[in-house]
Amino acid sequence: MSAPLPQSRQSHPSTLPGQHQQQNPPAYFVDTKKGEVSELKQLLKTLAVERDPKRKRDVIKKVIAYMTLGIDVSRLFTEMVLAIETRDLVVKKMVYLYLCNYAHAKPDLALMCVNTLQRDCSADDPMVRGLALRALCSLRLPSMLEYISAPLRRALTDQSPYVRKTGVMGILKLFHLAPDVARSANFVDLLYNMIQDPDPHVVTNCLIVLGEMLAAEEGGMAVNQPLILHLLGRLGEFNEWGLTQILALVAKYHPADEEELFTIMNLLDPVLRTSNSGVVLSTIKCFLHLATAVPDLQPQVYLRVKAPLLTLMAGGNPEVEYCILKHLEAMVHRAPGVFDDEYRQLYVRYNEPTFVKYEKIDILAIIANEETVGDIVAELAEYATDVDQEVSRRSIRAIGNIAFRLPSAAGMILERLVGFLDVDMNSIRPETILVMRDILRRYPERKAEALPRLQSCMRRVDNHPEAQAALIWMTGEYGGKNFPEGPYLLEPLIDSYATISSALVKLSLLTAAIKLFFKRPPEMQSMLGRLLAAATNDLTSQDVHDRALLYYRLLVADVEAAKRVVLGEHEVDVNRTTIVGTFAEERDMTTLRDKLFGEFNTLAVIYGKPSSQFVSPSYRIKPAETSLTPFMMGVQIGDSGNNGNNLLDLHADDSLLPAGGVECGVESESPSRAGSTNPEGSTAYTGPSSDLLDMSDMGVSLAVPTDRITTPSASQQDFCTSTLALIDSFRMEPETFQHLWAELPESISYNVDLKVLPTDGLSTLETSLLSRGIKCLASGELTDVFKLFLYGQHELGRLYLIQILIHKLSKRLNLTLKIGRSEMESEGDDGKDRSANAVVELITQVLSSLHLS
Amino acid sequence: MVASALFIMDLKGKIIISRNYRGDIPMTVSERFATYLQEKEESEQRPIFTEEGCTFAYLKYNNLFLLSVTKRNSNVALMLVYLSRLVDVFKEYFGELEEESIRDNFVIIYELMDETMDFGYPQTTEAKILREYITQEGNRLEAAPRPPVALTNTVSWRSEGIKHRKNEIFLDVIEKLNLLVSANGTVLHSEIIGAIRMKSFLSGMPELKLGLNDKLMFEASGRAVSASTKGKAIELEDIKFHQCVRLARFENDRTISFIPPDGEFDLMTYRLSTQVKPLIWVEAVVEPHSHSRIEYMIKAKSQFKSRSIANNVDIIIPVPSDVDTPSFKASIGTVTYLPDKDAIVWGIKQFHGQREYLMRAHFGLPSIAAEGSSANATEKCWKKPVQIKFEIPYFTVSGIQVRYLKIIEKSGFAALPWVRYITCAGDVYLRMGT
Repeated sequence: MSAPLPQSRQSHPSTLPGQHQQQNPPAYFVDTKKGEVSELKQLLKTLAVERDPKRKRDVIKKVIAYMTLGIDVSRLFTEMVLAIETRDLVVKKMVYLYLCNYAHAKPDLALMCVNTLQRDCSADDPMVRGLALRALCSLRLPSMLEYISAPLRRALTDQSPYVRKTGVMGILKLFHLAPDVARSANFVDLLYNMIQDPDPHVVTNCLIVLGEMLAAEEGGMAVNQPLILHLLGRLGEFNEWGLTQILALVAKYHPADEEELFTIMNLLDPVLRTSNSGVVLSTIKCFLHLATAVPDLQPQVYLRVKAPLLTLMAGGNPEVEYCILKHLEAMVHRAPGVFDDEYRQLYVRYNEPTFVKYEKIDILAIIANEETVGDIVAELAEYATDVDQEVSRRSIRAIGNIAFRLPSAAGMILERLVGFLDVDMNSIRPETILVMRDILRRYPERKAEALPRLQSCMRRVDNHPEAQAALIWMTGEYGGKNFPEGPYLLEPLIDSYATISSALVKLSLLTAAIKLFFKRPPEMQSMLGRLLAAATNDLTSQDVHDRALLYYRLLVADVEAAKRVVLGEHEVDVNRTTIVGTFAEERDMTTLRDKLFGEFNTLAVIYGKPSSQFVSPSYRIKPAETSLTPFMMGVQIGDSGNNGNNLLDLHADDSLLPAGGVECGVESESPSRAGSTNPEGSTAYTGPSSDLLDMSDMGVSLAVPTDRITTPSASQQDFCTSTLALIDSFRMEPETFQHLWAELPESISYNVDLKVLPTDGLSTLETSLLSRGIKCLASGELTDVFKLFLYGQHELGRLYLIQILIHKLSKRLNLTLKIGRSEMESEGDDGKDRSANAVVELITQVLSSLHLS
Repeated sequence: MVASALFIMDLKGKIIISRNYRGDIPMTVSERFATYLQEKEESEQRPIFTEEGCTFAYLKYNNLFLLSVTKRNSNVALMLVYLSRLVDVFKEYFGELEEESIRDNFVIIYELMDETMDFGYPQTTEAKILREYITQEGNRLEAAPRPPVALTNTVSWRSEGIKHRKNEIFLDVIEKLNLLVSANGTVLHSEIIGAIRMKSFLSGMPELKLGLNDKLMFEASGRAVSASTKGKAIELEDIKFHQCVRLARFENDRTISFIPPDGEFDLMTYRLSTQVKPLIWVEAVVEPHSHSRIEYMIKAKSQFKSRSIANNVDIIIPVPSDVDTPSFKASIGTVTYLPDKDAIVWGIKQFHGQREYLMRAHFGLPSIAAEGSSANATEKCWKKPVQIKFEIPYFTVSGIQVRYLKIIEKSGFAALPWVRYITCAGDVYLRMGT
């Protein structure tokens, strides 16, 4: 029995069971294991009497080793509980660990250890006190509740900070075990007081525990000015993990005025020098949050955080680098131009993991500008011939994306792509063809450069139907006058129709052939005939058969009509591609990116999806952010001549308003939360952000849609700012506006008589509207009328297009609103009406704040 | 951030050791991770992914995965940073972190897992402080209760009452050069990652002040750059400090003042992305004669001052995988063929500045090769860049200099600072021409 157990165990602990398995039949193996556990049991019993500390430690180590290997040693529970009586700290820790692991399997026996644990909680050694308390709280047994409270309370006032910080965390454990007990025990107030604790670790844990306990009900801790200033004043004392907790709070705080805002930023600035990426990203989040109130500041913020981010990227391990790259990508979209000159930092290194390479390639495509495009495309072209097919594919795609974005580079890029067609590597050619097809759709005028080179490729992409189909499509689409070889490119394919296996290729062949037929009838006629004959007899694909038949009947019925149908499509298509390139897809992405920015430094940025799509509801944290910060409101009201001091009060009141009261006051359609963190769907029903302290449970608020609550109009005036949440960064092109304006029905038309006409032209009005998220597309003064075209986008994607006419003579303002619905919405028309009203209300508010009405 | 559980696993996803912090996920989630590793191609794997509401964030270290699992939308970078800090702590304790060292030290690993994280929140990851109450020996039976002092100090990284018989402090200025050169010889990207590593053996609570030839500091202190220093002042692009440095003071007048932790630590790291010419320039001329032989002519030239010497220079040149019968001729150093890496390594123990050396390599190629595969293999080899490794002592690329290190302590002991400089190659790659 006195064999050197540790040695044999430590050198091959994992192979132990495996060896047995190989040598012996399974049944025997189970016996052996049982045997060994029994042996340990015996040992523990004897040793408890023997009191040889060294051997005792060895045996207990062996128990833990078995536990680590996944062998069930819960049978030893009784003996282990007895072993807790020791002065050996290491043994104590091991026994505690054992208890925490098996307590829920043996709840009755676990009660046996309560006495000892409780006694240890008042031991002389603070270390033992702390460890015992941690173990006691970690047993996760409801039956333990009554024994936890007293030691926990004592721990909070313990003289050792180690015990205090463990105690604070213990409250959170208690909370998860029995939320009601923890709530009723007044711990929340105690914790708020403990934020003053001299030890930073204790403070950190207080913030953690308060944050989590209040997350479900109130969206986290209540943040106010004294708290923030207290914490920021002690910033230097905290370690990196403490800093993140403080930063998380700052990211929810709205400074009272601009001066305070700058003070906070200056205090946080040194934090950017820490080498912890998590901390730096949290700081950036704070900066971005603070800068929302002062739009001019935003570019400076991006400039300031650029160098620290790049350093972290260069110094960290690849996993962290991946994380930073994802955030960089989000910022690059938000702040075009800022990172452009650092493109060399994003050059791919030969030995990097692929996930880092992919990110770098994607970002390179976004930051290329007129000056750097040459370098970047040359570099991406290097990667295009990489052995890793995905790297190669992405690089080619990236080069294509640059061409879409920078028309001036399209020619150069097309040339480069044409060069790729000669490279004899499997992955390159098909991808290049796909990208070329998209570039030609965007810049049809470039066809002359590309088409002649296609000829040689047709045969070489046999094994890649998608690329072959793209080639065929290009031939059909652009193979008119300036590409005489067109028909002869298709001919071999038509003649070997039987050997084509892909329906996709067959379909595009049909379409291309008939298009070319109308452009070059003499050459195509016989070919088309053969093709239609073959395709109408094709039994492998119903789709191909049907389309061939359709074309055939079209041609038989009326050749001219067929031409109009087939080629007419072409005109529309060209138009659409140009438009698509400029706005439609980009608009959806912008909305999404805005949403994600609200969740900066979380998983949402990594996945490019709002958290509502992947975090289960019970774990979601209630958002508590606003875009219309009290401070911003303050600026506006201040502008209009109100007393600025009110702002602070307003802010304080806000945080105390009960949810119900506020909710009634606001258009339920338009919650004030900037709140891109809002989970979809529930957005329409949650109350405004201001009710930090009394936000009802999400489930409940979902069940009670506010539109069923009658809306007392009186409270509407109490709440001085409309809470329509419009997206700040949204931009619309004039063409888009025109297009949509022509397309959309009028939602509302509204007249109001102004007291006075705007004195300084329209600039004050425009600025005020802009600060509420309504942007001006164009405005002007005609002889008898002021005219404004405005637009805005709701955070759910809904578009508002507004035309305002102010007649100089009658001082009558006429407002016309059109609403473009986004796909994300599922409400009926009445949602539209309500949001229309919200917009009108917002504008009237602006007017009255400027004393115009 | 909050982690529900932590796993350390082998490369197949088999658990070596684990800790369940919050009990809100079954420990069997580890199986999902193992499945992920099996099913996803390596190029499809991401260090962060979510499955059925559980988010997995992991990093790979040696032959291990460190994995944290959470159910919340966490501060994602923080989870990964915690894991990498944990690796640092383990390394500090066991020297190297690998499967074997974990199995040999599982008791301490458990202790460390418990002290660095409570209920899923990181607590302390400073190895120096952890060492004060979790000792590797742990064998000191019945030792007097040791409260974790440093946990409570405002100077949390140093305990009071440290005594050294000999008061010494060592400074290593280490610069790593990352360089990427295109096939035609243009420098595509160059950057210097520097670190000032200290080894402090000082008694008491010493106050230190470090002076560098930092351009901005000269400006801040109002001194003319040219007058005060003979050497050039340099502009550090971005500096990160150990938490002991008083950041507010640095922001004010660029003074680096601090109370150092005891032992070894990185005082500061910095980055410069100035244009650097390759310290060792390599030209490779390759002459392939398909189906018979392939010849390499490699020219290496040192472009630093003749006083300096580069040590342990390795020039790693990729070759096709199907070569045979190697023969080399080099004017200096030794050349070895590494078939498992498809490369030849030209090693030069000492490479003086302003010299030029030549090396020729000759390989046979199989006379019969499957047409496609051979072309591909050669292609692959062309895509690999030439890699260069070296170390140049007493030299920094950036030109950074330690001007002074002042040590002030109540007891007034005399302490000597020792300063060393070294530049070594980080990722230095020269692309081969095609």
